Amino acid sequence: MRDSGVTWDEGWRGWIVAGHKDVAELLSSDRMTAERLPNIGSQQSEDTRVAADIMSRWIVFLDPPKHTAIRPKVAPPFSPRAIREIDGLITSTFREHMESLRGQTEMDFMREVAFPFPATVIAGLFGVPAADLPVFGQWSDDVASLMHSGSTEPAQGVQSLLQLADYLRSLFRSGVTGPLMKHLDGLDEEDLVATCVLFLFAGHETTKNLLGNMLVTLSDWPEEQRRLWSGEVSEKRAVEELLRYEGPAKATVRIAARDVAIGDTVIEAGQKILLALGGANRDPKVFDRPDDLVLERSESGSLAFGYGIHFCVGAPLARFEAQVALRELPRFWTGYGDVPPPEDRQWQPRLLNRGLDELPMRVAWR
Amino acid sequence: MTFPDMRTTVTVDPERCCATGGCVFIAPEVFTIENGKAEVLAGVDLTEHAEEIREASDCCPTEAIQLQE
Repeated sequence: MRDSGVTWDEGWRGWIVAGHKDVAELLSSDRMTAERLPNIGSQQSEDTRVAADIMSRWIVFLDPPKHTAIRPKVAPPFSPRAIREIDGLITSTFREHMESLRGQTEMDFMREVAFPFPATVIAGLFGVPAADLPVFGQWSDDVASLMHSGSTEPAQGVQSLLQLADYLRSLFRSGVTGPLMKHLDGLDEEDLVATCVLFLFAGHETTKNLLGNMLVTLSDWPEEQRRLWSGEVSEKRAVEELLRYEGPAKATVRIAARDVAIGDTVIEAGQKILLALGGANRDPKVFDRPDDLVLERSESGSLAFGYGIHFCVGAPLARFEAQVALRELPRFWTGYGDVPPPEDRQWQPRLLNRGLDELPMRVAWR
Repeated sequence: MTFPDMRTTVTVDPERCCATGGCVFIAPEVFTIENGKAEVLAGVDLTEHAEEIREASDCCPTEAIQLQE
């Protein structure tokens, strides 16, 4: 797939584009539309109609000018400046969580760390009480599965989406607020609820997967891991390379609004296109030895967070959470091991994202 | 690009820029997207737009806009 760059996938009934240059160009092209609500079931049902209305307000599914009207209002909470203001809060959340696990020598990293840490952070930023995290986590997982063509029944995803929206609506009406909510004025209630549903699940689901992917990748590259823990490589650079090598967003979907030519291939208006971010990040035209983890890699241009106007709003938060995890873990652990070999790893059965269902490991505490 | 009286320069690092367009929204008189990268428009009075430029720099999700003061 990587060499030909553009291929038609008969099973998916769409094009797959995996070359770095093509993916970046298509992501910033006005010939592509992002208006592509996933099929969430029959529009006959009232629940499905309400869920579709919520999703139709998500900036990930909007083109300009609608996109331009909402994105600048919802991006400020996640700006690098806003994240710097709460860096102490994020670090202390991680430390407190790790303290609560102290002594557990065998754990499923996904369940014990990768899920609760970013979920606690994003919930706290929006004012969700910690006691509600488990139920909020389940809703959120179901919504993620709905979004990323996972195995959850669409009806289950729709119900969870509606419950999450109702929960947030009552939270806001009761005046509950968190440190990031002050940035979100200027949205009407329905846009606010829809946006917060999106951010709450996107804000922990992808970061959860990133944290798991980072640890499993580092266990496959022990020399790079040693260089990271010994301080030879900064956690900031390590996170960038880990995002490139095994980022949580495998691909994103667009629909051609007009005919587009890529080399000799013409993609016709109306056809769908899977833009393989993971493939682009392993493009040998851009990255030397693309299948090797090289924490101090000098080439830039990773598309892990996308490109263009839909570039991940939460990227600064995700990056910072990942950096905190890599910086803080060695303060708690002397090491971890007994990670399942590649053939035994439980990857989530999803088209668009890359993450482990579970990551059992043995941990040595300080 | 330099502020005449403050000796401040504004640059966009093309290696970091992901063409999110946030800077164009915040400071449309200063920034534009050309060939998939943000650029500082030629001939702009940067002093007049200093506040928006700082805002655009602080908000850029890829931290691609550098101010050297």
